[in-house]
Amino acid sequence: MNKESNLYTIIFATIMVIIVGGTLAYLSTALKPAQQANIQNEKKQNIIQATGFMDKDKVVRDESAEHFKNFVTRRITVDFDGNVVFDSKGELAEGSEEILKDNEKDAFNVNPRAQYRSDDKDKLFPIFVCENEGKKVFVVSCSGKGLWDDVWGYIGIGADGNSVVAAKFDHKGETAGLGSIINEAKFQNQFEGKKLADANGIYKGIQIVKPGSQELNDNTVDGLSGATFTAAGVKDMLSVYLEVYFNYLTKNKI
Amino acid sequence: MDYINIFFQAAFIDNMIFTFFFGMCSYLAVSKTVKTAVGLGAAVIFVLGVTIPVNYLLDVFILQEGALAWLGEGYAAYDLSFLSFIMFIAVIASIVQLVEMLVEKFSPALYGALGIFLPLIAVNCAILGGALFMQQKAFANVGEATSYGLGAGFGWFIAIVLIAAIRERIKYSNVMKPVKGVGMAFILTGLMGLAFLGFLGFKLV
Amino acid sequence: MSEVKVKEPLFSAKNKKLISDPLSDDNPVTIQVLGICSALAVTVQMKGAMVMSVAVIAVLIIGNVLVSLMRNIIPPRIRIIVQLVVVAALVIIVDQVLQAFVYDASKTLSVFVGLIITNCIIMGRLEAFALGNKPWASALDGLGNGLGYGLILFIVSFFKELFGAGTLFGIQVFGDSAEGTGLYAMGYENNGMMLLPPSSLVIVAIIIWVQKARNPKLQEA
Repeated sequence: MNKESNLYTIIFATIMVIIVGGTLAYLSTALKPAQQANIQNEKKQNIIQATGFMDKDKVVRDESAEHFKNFVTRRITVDFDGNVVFDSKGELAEGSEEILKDNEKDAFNVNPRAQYRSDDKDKLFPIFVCENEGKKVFVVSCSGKGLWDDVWGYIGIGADGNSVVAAKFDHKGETAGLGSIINEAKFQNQFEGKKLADANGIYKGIQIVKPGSQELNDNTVDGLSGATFTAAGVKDMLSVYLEVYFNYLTKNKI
Repeated sequence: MDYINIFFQAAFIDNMIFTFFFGMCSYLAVSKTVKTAVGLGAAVIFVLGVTIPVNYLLDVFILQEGALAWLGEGYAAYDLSFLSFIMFIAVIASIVQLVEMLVEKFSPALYGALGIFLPLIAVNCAILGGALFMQQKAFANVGEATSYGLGAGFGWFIAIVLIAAIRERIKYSNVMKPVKGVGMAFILTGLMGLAFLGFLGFKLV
Repeated sequence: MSEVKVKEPLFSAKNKKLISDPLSDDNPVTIQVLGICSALAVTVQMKGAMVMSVAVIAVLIIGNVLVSLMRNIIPPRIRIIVQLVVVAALVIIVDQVLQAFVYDASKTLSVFVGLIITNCIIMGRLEAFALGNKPWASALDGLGNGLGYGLILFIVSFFKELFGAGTLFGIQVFGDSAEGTGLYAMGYENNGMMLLPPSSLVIVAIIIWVQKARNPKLQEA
């Protein structure tokens, strides 16, 4: 058959599209459950890492689902003004901790990264109540924009709604070796023991300051040298989210 | 105002060449004289300005999760995003081919000037790179996507014309033999990239 | 490979050249000037550079073999689209499988996926070599060019990570910069500019310089 002819070209293109499309569609459908399980387990892993109950390095992704079941006792979603829009205590039968797959307001399904573009007032704020050996920690989730792409984090707040017990940050595409340091221990560990409010109980948030530029107090941590904009992105993200969480957690006794 | 902001953001702050190094291969190969550089640069502006809005519509109405909802309730569950690379590439390659044929038919003069560059563009990573950035940035409407495409193309145009102008001059300078040509172009691009780092982190939008 | 058709040994002098040439005189990055974008974008850390090299070598070999097998049936008019589709499909398949079974590797690789598809070395070799040669020679050509690309990535990332972050493969070699031990105690500091993209251009230029100084045949008139 003449390779130059239109008919041959069209037949070839059709067969190629069917083979390639079929293979890809099959693979994508067949692998989807495993891929989604990985993504969900990673989220659970991050939440557990932010509780401070365990050494961060010891939280293995494949075991995170188990930890999540043991530690997370309640899931709450609030809106910008602090109204509860979802509470697993009311919606679920006693003792059941199943994640409601179809309820997009379920705290586990709220994805702060997807809300980046929406107005602050329209954002949803998920809270995970974690309990272990009588200690209570609220893990909250936040997200913002770094220099290149998304940055996000999970912060563990103590039962007083004020002190930070642990923090876990991650990023999508910050400069490796500079901005990417936000997901390393030397940046994250600074947050442990910091306070959201000043000595009088008035909200201050956590400021990220130029490294070495000033004496650190309970409300400040050192930024990253060479990654000013990534640090600024983390700071902005914290200022948007932490105030909502602080107001809710200090006003409501959970 | 948003359109203008997006345009300048794409052209200067997120410059394809100096910030992301997309399209370096044709950038280095075709920057020996200003005339050819202008030709290729114009072709890139044109192709980016056309393919990005087309790919944007494709992404929003077909590829994204739940994008097929306009076909009816039952289609909302489909997620075709795994096909985006292939679809974007296919769109780019076919539009480039189409443009080539149209230009050849209706404007032989323009074809003489642009013609040889068009096939080069299908494999220019700046074009697919632009489509992928467009997907990542999640623009609100097709107008924003178009102004992003034009801006990214304009940034690429500036970059290649600048380096071509420098290379035309440097031809007459006494450069060490081993770095002559490509080696010098690399160093020059490095220095220009450093200058463009000054735009880094500006936020217009 | 069937025994009858092979007229030359698997590693004849000609085939060996297919591997050795791209490593020196015909290097895809420094001499053919292909695949620069990814060579510059992923070289901040040696680990990322290695992952990228391995991925490119794999895609190059498989893509070369596939296109070479199809070389007699591809309609010439749509050959570029066919090649792009082959590469894109291969990369997507690898990415999907990794996401499902080796999630950690996929997180490292995911940022590179787009860069692999747009890597002009792959398109360049498919077009220039695989379309006109037998599968075995194409596989060797893919391996050779992939290694040549990996070599440059290795050199560039070595210098960038060493001087930019004071580490190699994430292991500190100059002492701890935060604690101020080792070289840092004597006042040495990491050069953050080495981590930024423009410095890779200069390093590649220096590699070209060394290479062309040693082999005057490659110099431009």
